[in-house]
Amino acid sequence: MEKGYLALVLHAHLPFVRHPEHDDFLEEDWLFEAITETYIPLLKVFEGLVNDGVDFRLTMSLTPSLGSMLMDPLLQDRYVKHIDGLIELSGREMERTRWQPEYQALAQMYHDLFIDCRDRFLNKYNRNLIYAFKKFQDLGKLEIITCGATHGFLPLMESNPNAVRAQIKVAAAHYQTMFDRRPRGIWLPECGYYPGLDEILKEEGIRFFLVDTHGILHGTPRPKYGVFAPVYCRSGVAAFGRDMESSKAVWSANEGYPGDYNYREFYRDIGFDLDYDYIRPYIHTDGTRINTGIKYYRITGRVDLSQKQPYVRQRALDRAADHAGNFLFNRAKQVEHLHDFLGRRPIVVSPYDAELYGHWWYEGPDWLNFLFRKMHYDQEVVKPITLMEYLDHNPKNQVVTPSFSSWGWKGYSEYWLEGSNDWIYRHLHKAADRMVELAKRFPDSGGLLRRGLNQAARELLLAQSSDWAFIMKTGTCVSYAVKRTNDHLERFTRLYEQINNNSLDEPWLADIEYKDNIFQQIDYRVYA
Amino acid sequence: MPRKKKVITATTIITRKKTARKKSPAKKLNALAAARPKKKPRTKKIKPPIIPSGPKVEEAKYYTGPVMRKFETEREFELPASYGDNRIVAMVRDPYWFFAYWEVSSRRRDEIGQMVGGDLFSRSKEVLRVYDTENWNYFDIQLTAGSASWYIKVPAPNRTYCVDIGFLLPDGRFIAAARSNWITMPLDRMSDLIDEEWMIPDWEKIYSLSGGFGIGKGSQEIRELVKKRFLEESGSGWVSSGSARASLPERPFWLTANCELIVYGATEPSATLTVQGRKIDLRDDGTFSLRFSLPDGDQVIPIEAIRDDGAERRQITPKVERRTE
Repeated sequence: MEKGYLALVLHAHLPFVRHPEHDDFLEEDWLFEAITETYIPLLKVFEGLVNDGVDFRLTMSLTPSLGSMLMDPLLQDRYVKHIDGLIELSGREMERTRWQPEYQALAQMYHDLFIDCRDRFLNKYNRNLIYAFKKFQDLGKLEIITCGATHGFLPLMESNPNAVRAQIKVAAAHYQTMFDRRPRGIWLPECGYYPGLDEILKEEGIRFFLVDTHGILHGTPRPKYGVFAPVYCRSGVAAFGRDMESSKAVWSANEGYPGDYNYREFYRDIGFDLDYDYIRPYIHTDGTRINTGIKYYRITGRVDLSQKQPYVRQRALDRAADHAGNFLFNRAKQVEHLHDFLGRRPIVVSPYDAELYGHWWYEGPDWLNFLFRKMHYDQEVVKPITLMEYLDHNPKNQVVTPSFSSWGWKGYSEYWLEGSNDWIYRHLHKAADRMVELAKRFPDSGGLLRRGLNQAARELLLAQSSDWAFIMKTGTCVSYAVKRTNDHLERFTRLYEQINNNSLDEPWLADIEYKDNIFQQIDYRVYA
Repeated sequence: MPRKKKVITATTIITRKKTARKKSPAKKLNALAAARPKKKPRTKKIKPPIIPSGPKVEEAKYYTGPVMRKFETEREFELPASYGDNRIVAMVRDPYWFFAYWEVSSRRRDEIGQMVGGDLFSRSKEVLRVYDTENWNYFDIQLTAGSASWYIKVPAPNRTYCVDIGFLLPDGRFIAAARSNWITMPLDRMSDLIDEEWMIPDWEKIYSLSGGFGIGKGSQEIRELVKKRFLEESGSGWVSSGSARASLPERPFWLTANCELIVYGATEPSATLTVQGRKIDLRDDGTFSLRFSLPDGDQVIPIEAIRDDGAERRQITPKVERRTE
């Protein structure tokens, strides 16, 4: 009989980046890279586990903005072009590296991988990864949870509850179109929670959310089991807290597994290494060198990028297996200790950004694969569990109001509210107020006006994406984030003015409906 | 008779340097982007590039379907400096700090001016008055002219505050123009409140087992790396094994060099071509090109073309030796 549970949670999110107005748009590559390196590899792992009868459990968010991109035909087409290019490039690499067996083996590995990705994407998944993930949800292995509609950081919208509500309602409705049922859990964007937010979650039938460690530990009253059991808010919605020990094993820059010297080096890519004219057709159309995804080196050590040694796949896989074993060993110890100490079976909640697995930590999906297999075959102390399953089996929990918190730097709002980005909020709040005003003023509308109102809601949601504030703070690619914020606010404001003047510009509206086509089924009255 | 050529190019393998490499998505938006110098390939070639029909490959890669619609041009737009509102909004940043932004409408300003008298009003100071809503104790922050937002430090976390924007008159009176929403600052430590039903025998231990003494550590470092990666214009300069930037050794002078080999040529477009026994696809015009990395030693590269009816064949076998000293 198990002594406790491990709940791995993967948060899969990318901001909505879709630019039909450009033939080739750099930021769209974020999606394509994540498909090739994270989403498809994860699906492959799940599939292998199911085929081999390994009973695994995972909780995973697929944010509405990511889901919308994955279901978008234009981006799906572009992904195929993208992977075609990689297949061609890796094919040429096999030629180019013919006299360097260690590199050629890797070129071959990538070539096979890309061909497999293309094949799966087109034939197995029918271009739609959402259905591929849904399959594992329907099998009871995966609990897919939702997120804010556009990953808006909710604590900084607190002054307009309708705006918060719209982020949740639109997300829940969108989830239903993807998965044919209501979401039972939510990944609050950046784990941003403020007391009272749970009331809004409850309205949508959401049963649980996650907070960072101190969200639970600093809750009121004191949580008896720390983060090793969920708590109920007064609304009855459950909150799970992040376990730091297990998180650190993966996340920590110093002690974390992904830094192992045998793992693939992310930052050395042939897009930068190879002769310009050779690589030119495979980088950005304007000639900007970019990461192609073909990387031949391992981390090697704390050495300069030019000193990196070739990647050896088998050695990396061996390390992934070791690390999975180490992780499991430590969880078993942790769970045994907690079990005796708490007098109850603890749940260890380990949330990560999904894109860490595969995209950044190339061997991450393999690590997960080994971990679930070892957990299944090698021991009986720790069982994998989804957060929902845990609640179903352990309905009695303490009532605690979690503390205002996020999983961002320093644990609160500072990352999204500081000198570089605080200017956006007066405009975002104003737009949100105006949207509420419109929704109240037009409780019933049709035709062009309705389209205008719905589009205004889309533009507002897109402007609210926390990614833009985050990017402004990180200091790279700021102009894109500023432009996105401005564009959506601008489009919103124009719509607002045109609706007020009864002068909606149909051709322009049709354009922005096509460009910012997220949430086709949106109903602006969520703001009323 | 097919053309035959043998070319060896040496290309320097470039160690990466950080360069601006973001395509600006804007048409003409951003002075910064516009001012950015056009990127140039940083390669120095001994021979000019020899891969023909590059654009074709490129087109194929980036071709996104036949319907690229024309869009209406969107007019230039700037976010307004103010909305003519009279309001102040407070937002929590962390247990000790909150942020407020405001706007005092000219109407409200005039109203207050008339109420207190123009002379007195002109000598007033614009201040924020921050209240602890439990006992209405307050403190004032005198603002610098033209400010429209402020970060405010509170005396204690876990209390509920609100803030007025207003005018402090020389006679000590305070006239508020607007009052903010109420905000409750987060608790920065464990709660003092203990639930009788859920008594805690050894709280300190639970707290520490939960990681309570190391809050704020852990995920952020790598999360930032991961996210930064999505945002990085160049992926260079970072070691994935640590959060610190790769320190480039101090090298006043350095050199790296490598060799590559390009084999190219042409035959009848309908012919079958093999290089070292492996079949190579010809381009529509019968040309081909292959690129190899070239290690030290001897390389023999038999190239054979066979006419489509199999009746004729031609063979060319370049032999290349590389010796690095």
